[in-house]
Amino acid sequence: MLEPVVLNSEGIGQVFAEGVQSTTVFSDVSLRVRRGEFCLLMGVSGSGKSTLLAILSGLLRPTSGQVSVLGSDLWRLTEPEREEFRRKHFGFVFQGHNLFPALTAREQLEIVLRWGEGMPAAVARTRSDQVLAALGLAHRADRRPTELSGGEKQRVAIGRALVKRPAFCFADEPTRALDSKNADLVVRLFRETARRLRSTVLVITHDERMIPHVDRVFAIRDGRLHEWSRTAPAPAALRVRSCVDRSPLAPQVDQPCSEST
Amino acid sequence: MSYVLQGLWHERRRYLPATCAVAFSALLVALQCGMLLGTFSMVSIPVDHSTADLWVTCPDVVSVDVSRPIPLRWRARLSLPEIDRIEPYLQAFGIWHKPDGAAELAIVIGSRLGEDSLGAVSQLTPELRTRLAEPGTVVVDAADLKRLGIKGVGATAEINGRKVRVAGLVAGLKGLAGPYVFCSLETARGILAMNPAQTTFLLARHRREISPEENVPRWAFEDMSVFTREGFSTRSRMHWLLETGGGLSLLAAAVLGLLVGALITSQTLYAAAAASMKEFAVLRAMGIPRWRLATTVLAQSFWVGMAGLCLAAACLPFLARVIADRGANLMLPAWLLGGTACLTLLMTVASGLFALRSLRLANPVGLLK
Repeated sequence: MLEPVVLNSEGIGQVFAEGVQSTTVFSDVSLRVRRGEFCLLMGVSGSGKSTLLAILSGLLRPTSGQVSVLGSDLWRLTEPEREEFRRKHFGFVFQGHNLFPALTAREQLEIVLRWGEGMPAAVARTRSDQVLAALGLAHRADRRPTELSGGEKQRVAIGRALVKRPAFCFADEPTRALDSKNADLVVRLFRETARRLRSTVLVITHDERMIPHVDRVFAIRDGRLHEWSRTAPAPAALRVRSCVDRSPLAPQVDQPCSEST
Repeated sequence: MSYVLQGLWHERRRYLPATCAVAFSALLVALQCGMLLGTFSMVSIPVDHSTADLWVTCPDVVSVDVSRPIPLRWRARLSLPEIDRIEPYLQAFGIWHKPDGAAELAIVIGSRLGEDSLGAVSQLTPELRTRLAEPGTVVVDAADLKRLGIKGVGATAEINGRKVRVAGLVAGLKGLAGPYVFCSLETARGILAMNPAQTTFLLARHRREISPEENVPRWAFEDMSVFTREGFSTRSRMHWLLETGGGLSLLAAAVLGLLVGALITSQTLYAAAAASMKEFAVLRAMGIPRWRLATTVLAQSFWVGMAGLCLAAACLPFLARVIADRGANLMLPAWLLGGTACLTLLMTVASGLFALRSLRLANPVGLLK
């Protein structure tokens, strides 16, 4: 049975104006994502994938079109309503970890629960410890960012996004600057989260290693959104090379991607 | 420990300038105001150290040291059932001629010398009062000896051309506009060449069961002013505070210190908040309301203020001692210290409010590269 569509965008367009000049980043972008899907958004630098993610996640108002999430028209909500919507349903992983230097790994997660959800300290602590354990960081819960490796910091950032069990998780280059082992772990975490929490994950990436593990791959090229069907040859828009033979997760892939042209 | 306190402790070096600025401001305000209080309390010494409840004088007298003569017959106006006793009191400036020929302005105070005198300062012991009963004798404060150009008890000098002899010394009654010279009514009248039918003040003691404030309005004579002791003391100090440049300049220095503290604190908090903008932006993306982040910045400012106050409290006794050793009159009553603490905390929280503008930088879209 098909899962329901939880994110539906219609005719999104974005134009940035500066003085008399204006730049169309993309136009008439529509996509439908079902609950629990793990999606990649790819494209060359400057193609507009970050802008599209910002629009879909309620951070940037589009020039045109509409975004419906869980049945709510995101850009018809007032700013406080949209903020509340993000608090309830969205988790984010941005580039660069952005962890508070003074707080331990556990507190980075707790702060989201206590400030965002108003959760009591003891409950927040238990929940945070559970998530850190799932991330393989139980023994690092009391460490501050300076005492963690890059991979560990990225996992804490992911834990911060997932600790409130959001319906959506948006991530920007989560495997950037990670070695294969850590990148593998991050991909598995997203995969498991999408399955276990029925969360929808939308990831911006240039990292080809992620492709075999996702449900859908979107790419922006020349201001248009393309979807690569896993049963069809990869479109040129992706401009990615097959990584299956190089990925440690390759055996899990049921449909290898071929060299794109 | 709260996240705010953890942040402050972790980045204590970043917050050190603000903490020092707050301490500096608090110390400056407390010490300047303490010196101001101490200095201008010298003006009202004759009032504060008397036992009179009411001070009667001519209209519009702004300070105890600038009164004009009034008729002694006004005693009749005070002959009321609630008044227990009335007595004259003389106070006026005189020219003290030092033995070396130099002159100094002095404040001559003549009062009754009896044990129940309303005008005699409490420091005049029965022995000193006995000595002052001899015409031409005076008592001065030991701290004013150098100013008066004399060495101590037994020294002679001239005031307004009248020879006087120092019969004793007191402590803690150093004058501001000039040294106080205490003597009997008769000696004062001679020095000041005052008409026997006149006095500078009439002092009165109320019967204890009636508050002096209650009856002051009853004496609504156009040509006469009646003040309670507390009221006249405050009036005298406020006159010196507001009408002389010295008081205002001391206050201005305190306000300037407060402003400098506010500026440094606000800039430090702004920079600290701006340094956490990316972390704040992540929380904003996840829907954590702006007010929650604003509360964090304000809590930071509050704790920086508290740390600064603790530092100031640690330094204050040492500085107060240094100032006192240098001869300045410093008064640090509890209300002044409490008021300074409140003012300083208010200043740091206001600085925090000013630093809140940094939260505009917490834009989650900026994190998407």
